[in-house]
Amino acid sequence: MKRESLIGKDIPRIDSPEKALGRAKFAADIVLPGMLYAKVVRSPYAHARILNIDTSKAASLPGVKAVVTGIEDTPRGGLFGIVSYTKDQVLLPYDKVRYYGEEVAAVAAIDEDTAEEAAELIKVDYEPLPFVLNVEDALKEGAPLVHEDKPGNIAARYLVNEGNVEEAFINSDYVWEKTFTCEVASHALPEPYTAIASYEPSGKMNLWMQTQCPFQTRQALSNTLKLPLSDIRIHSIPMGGGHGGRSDTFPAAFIACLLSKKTGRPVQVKLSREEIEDCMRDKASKIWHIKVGFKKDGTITARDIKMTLECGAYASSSIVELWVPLLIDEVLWRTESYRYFGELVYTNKTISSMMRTRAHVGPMSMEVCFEQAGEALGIDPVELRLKNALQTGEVSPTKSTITSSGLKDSIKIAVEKSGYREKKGRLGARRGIGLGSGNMQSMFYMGFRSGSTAFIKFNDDGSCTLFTGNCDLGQGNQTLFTQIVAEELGIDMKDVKLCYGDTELCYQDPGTYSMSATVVSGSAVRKAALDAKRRLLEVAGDLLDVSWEEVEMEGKEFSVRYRRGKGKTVSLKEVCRTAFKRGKPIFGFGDHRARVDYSDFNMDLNIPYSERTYGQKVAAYSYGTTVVELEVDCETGKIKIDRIWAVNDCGTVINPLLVKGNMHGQLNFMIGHGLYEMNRWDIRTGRKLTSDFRSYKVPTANEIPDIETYFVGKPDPNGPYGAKEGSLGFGCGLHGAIANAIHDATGVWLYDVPFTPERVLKALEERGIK
Amino acid sequence: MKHDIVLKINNETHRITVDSRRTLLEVIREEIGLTGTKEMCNKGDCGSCTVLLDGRPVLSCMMLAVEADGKEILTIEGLAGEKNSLHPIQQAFVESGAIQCGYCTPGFIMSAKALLDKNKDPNVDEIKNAISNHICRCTGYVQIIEAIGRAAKILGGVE
Ligand code: FES
Ligand code: FES
Repeated sequence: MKRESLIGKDIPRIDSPEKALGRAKFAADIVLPGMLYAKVVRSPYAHARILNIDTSKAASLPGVKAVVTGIEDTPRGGLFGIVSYTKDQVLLPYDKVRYYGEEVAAVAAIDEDTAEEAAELIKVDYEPLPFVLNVEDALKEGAPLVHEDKPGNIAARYLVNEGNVEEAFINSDYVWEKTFTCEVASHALPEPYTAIASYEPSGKMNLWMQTQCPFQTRQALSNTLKLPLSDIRIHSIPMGGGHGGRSDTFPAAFIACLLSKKTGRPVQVKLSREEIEDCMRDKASKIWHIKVGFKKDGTITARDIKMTLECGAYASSSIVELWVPLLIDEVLWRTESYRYFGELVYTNKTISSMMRTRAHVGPMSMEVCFEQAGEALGIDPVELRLKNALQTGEVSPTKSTITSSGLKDSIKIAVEKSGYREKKGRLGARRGIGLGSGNMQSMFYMGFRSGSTAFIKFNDDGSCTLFTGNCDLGQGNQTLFTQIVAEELGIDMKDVKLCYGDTELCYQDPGTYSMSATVVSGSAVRKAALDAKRRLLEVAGDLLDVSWEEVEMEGKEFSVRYRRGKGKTVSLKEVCRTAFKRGKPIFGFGDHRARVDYSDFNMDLNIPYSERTYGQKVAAYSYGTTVVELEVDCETGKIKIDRIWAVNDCGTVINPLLVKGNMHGQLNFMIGHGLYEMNRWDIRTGRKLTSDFRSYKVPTANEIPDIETYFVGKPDPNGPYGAKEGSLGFGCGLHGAIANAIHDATGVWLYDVPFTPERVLKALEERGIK
Repeated sequence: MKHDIVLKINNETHRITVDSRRTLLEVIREEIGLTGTKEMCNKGDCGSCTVLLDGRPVLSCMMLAVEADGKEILTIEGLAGEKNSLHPIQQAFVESGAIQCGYCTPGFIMSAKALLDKNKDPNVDEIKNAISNHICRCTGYVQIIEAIGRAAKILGGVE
């Protein structure tokens, strides 16, 4: 009997049972024989020169096995950075510290208490330096330099200039201009960062740690530790969340390696909640200045964007945030002329990185623009959006073709399902409704690491094992890949075993980075399954005395196609065993490189300032629209979101149960970053004031509105089964939807995210409401 | 200071000597070796370290092990049936998609157990209330709330 397709089925995550049972072993659950415990000494200054470190007392404390400092132990010349011109971080610095809490030394001891005591005995002499805590100060003439070799505190710049924006504005009938901002927010990752390093006498460095991209991490550790790439092995373990915040290579892993190498024993570095919040990653603050020109009929003539992005002490993966807003903005709304200028600025703060909520002030600015411009031009704002929405087959200003766009559909569905037109302006008493669209890439350009290779081996019992370098931070990638193999081979998911994210056993993969898991890694897995199937059919054909094309595989049985139900059959197990006996076991190999065309892609990654960046940058684009209904409490300034309608254009939905869950997660993150979450610093010391869940409020179950999810359901030509990124893009317009709903409720416009009660009250007061 | 205490964890009696400064969370994870109970904040703000103490949910990071002397403790490992068969609450979490990274899961499941032990048919507000001191950064809570409702049905024999 032909099995029903698994694509489109609600399939629970395969790794959930062990997590429900409390049996999954996360990094901090692992105890290796002889393992030592480390404690890191951190800078009490936001900016200071390291003059001297005295470790003698700590080193002589009983139970202490090793002490490391940058001056003594950091191999010289190996810097961390995502692209060559942003390699700016010594993972254990020896000259100066650039933010409060930066690593300066570490000890490894027989237990945590001893390590802590020893850390306190390490004496560091500093020369405190003036510091900068925001981009305005960092960009001033004569401002203290975070990096002496980066004049003006500029880490990188990026410019796209298409057509002639100045002329286009002169010829426009209406020009709209505004500045938006968003604050530094946290990933607030659930699992505390833990790295265990174990250096073997053979020279092998084994690591158990959290990373979203094991292969990039291995490369970065090799560069900074000066160890051969193949001597570093990152083992695969369950990980408690990533959300973009585990994409970089962190000092804690580097320090664990140094200590393990020095002692010859396994070393665990486990960070506390405060250390994670102070010293891991944040999301960059952003100032987004935008000018948009329109014709009388509502056609957009030009867009001019200037973005200032704050990366904190090191450029890290913020460099990606410098151009991702462009990737999002340029493919949402059509324009004739286009200019995008982004500047990445250093400050003496926690390092920023990628984050799932990404470029939200970008999409938000256009949503507010449509409302305000619509009113000025006398055009219905929904119609204005539909008129300018980019559609399938169109080309972006930097010449990326949109392989599938459900933007218009998503707007129409969201408007209809929410009753938007009937409700807008009519909800009364401080209630409002608002709409916002967003977008996300599936796989952007990552150079050499843009491809994935998967491998399948068949075992002699007829089961198979899939090897993929991709990993899973909770999105459901393990389930997705298993589902794809089972689908192609027509076998049960439980007969597909999985080996993933291990740098020794698997081929290279981008990791859960750049939203590539489905489109790139998933396609590689599918190709590997098809390759294995062909080999199975060939052996079965031999056993059935026909050519492989005449063989049909159903469940675990092979038969001759035209003799269906009658005649001879062979089992999957027989086929596998025959293959073994012949000395040619069954395997499958699949490779997928993103469909990105670099023929005239002129973004030279060695030049931080590039003017023309033509080419297909992204394999596929996901779109979507959200509508929110909310209530504003004009006494307290609090916003209560009652309901969200979320429409996702993620192509074919391979597993709706999982995609819906990921959508809820994205909305939760967006609500947190939109309404409450922001970091604050003590301006006298540069110390972060929001390093725990009491001072940094994330949403709980009480803040979650009713959510309705919908899918556009149009397949993309590039993804496996027509799927593309499914968790982020649809929700990137939520802050625009919230801003518009607040305006609908109160008549007040807010341009600064998050929309905290203080900001809401201030805006209401300025308008004389309250 | 060292203390001799008796902890009855998941129906097994443990006679151990602990330092008076050790939290219940540390002792459960490090001395007893039950690592299913998770630390997220270690200061009472996230709920992930929740265990049941004489049937009541407590934050094990906020309690000293000596305070639990002589008490009955239930951790996530004590919920499963024979051969690791899933408890109905665990089953409901799996089926509802309530587990993404799964780091927060044991804590939520223990609070759900405490709720369903005393309230067989909770409404959505009661469920939200029972888990309002928990943090989940992945799921957005929707499927967790659904899971607890579904667990109530399974336990009540409706599903
Ligand atoms: S770890 Fe106990 S409440 Fe957070
Ligand atoms: S599932 Fe990741 S924190 Fe809850």
